[in-house]
Amino acid sequence: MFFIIFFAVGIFTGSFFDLSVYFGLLFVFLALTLKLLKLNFNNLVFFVGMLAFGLGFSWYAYEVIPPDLSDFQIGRQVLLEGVVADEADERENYTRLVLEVGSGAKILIYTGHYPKFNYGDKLKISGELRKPEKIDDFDWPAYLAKDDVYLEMFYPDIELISVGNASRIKRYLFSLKADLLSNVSRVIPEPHASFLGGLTFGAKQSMPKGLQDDFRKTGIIHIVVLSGYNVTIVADAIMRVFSFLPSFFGIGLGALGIAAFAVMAGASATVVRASIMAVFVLLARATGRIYEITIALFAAGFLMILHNPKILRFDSSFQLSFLATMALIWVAPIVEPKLKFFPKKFHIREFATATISTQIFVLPLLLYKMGLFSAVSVPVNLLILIFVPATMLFGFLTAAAGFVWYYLSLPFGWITYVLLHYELKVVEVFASLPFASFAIDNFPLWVMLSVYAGYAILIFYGKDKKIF
Amino acid sequence: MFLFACVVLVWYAVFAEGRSGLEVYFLDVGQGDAIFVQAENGNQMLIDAGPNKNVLRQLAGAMPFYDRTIDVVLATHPDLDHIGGLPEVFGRYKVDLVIEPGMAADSGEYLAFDKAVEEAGAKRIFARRGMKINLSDEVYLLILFPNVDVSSWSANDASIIAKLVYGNTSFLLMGDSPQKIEKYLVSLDKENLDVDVLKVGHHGSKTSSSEIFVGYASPEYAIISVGADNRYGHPHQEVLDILNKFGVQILRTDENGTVKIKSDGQKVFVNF
Repeated sequence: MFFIIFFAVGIFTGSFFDLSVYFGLLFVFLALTLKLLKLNFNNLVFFVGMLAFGLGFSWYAYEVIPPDLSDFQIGRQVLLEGVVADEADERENYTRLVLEVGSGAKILIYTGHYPKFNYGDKLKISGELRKPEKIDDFDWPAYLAKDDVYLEMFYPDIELISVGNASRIKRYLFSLKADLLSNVSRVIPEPHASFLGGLTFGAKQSMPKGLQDDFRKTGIIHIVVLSGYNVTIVADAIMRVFSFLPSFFGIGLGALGIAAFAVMAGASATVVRASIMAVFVLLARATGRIYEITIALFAAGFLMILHNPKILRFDSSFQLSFLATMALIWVAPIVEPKLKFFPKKFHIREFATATISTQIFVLPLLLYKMGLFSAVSVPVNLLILIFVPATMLFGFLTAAAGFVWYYLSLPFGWITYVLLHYELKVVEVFASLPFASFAIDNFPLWVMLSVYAGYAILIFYGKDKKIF
Repeated sequence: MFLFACVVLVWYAVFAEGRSGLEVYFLDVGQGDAIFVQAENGNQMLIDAGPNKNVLRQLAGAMPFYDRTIDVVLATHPDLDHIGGLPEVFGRYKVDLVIEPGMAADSGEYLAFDKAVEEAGAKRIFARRGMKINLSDEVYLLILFPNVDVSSWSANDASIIAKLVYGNTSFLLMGDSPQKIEKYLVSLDKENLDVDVLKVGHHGSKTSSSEIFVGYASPEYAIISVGADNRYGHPHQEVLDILNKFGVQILRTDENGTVKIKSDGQKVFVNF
């Protein structure tokens, strides 16, 4: 546990400094030397911490060594061949494709919406290669590097050479998702259909910009940006709704729901990570062994950052789902007794507990990342999240029924439409309030970290000292 | 509960279908054109669809949620800011008839549009001067241009110009037609150009809306379908000056959002 935390701290620190692997190894070496010389006052904690910090630091430095780009002629017109390595990311006025070219390096391509290209298409592109650049304060190159993207190309000439050059399973999942989405959009109008797409199928195609801003203002954007946060909440909701069943069935249904979402969302690394964490929430609730589960959660997090250390700092989804999971395991039991004034009917109190505890926990991160404090976040989340599981269920039924018969999907579609309409109305009404949100321009990293340190102390020491 | 839902649905439908007169929506689709027309009998026509799928949201605002058909789609010319949203429209709405100027382009969006029309199995016709599309017994669309084969023309020159007529009221829809085509129309039949509402050509670019043409059109309202802060600087001051000179009331989609104009056959009414 202690090792993992310091390993993570090492990775985190490493991500801010452009230092070599050896700097981290220095800490490892120091730790070992101190141990050997018995100069560390036999303090095991100090030894382990230093060792882990050094290893984490080195691991990050080792993992971010960019691939050799010297073969690429940056700034020149080049002709390249590669395979589309992910779903096309459709934005309002352009589409982004990630193209994998031989040597493991990936190129982000900006192009028009048409013709459409799919995962696994082999393309020949010609255009000017560029290195991504920082956008104001945002470290765009590092953000792209988390997915091994090191180059960009704007509006190249593209020629399709062949299709179906990548994993068959993933291709199948992506095309299933596209079919489900198209079934939905045949019965549900916009922007409702896009909203449902993001909510239920983790669809990347974005909602209109103005609406996204409203979602941000009301603090509910997390349910559509494939954050995995909604996976956690929905899994939690499924569990609670089926809590009258023996816990075995409850967990089973919850896990099934999570797996279904992961598959529908295309089983991307992001979704899989979030889903794994969501399972821990279920386990914690079912077994009540929150210490063991916490350790398991940390172990899972450790494996994830070992696999790709860059996510720790640059993947909001990883951060959000980890924090939301922690909140549901640790904060929810503390918050619940204080919410007695919420009626128990329709599980309202339980949704309130889940919403408030996760909100408390992710707030500092959101402030740091987005610099926007939403004053209406708690009521909006409450009003919407209660209906999210039902919306997802009917949305899924609409999409599935569309495979059978168009007219069969109509009644489901209309029910879904009503739910979506209500949710969008809530967002619209609250976003239009003058005090809905405040921009907080200056929320530095150290403030966020100290708030979390404060949380940790409050929870662990305030409640029980057994954890360490 | 179920019965209650049915009752709500029926009342919603009654309310949504309770229309009167001709409704014309100049949809706010950013930098581009999209015009939705609903005749007094409920028949619908979409003229262009803007650059991207934003048109879907605007359409949803103009139609009841269960309505998944548009009777006629007219593509004035194959430029992105006019047909970019069309492939998505065909994916979601059933369309019976497609009207186009009869010029192909090799752009991705045109090929996607072409494929979408074929897959939808809609009937396709080339617009030619003198054609009359009857949307209802009283509402019709009269094609003023092109009058010849435009397959090898530049896109804007080939743009379809049409006049929408309901009783004594009329709308002149210019697509992206430049001044030389405007002048040609004036030379053909200037009497026919006098309208109540003019959708000015090419998003208010100074390459369209010549003084003589605006003079003959002498509209009460001019619609400029344009995106806020677009990189072309549309609408140009010259065009605004000409419109102001003739005392035309200007309505812009970047400032007013979607502009909705109703006609009872005698007079036109604007409401946002």
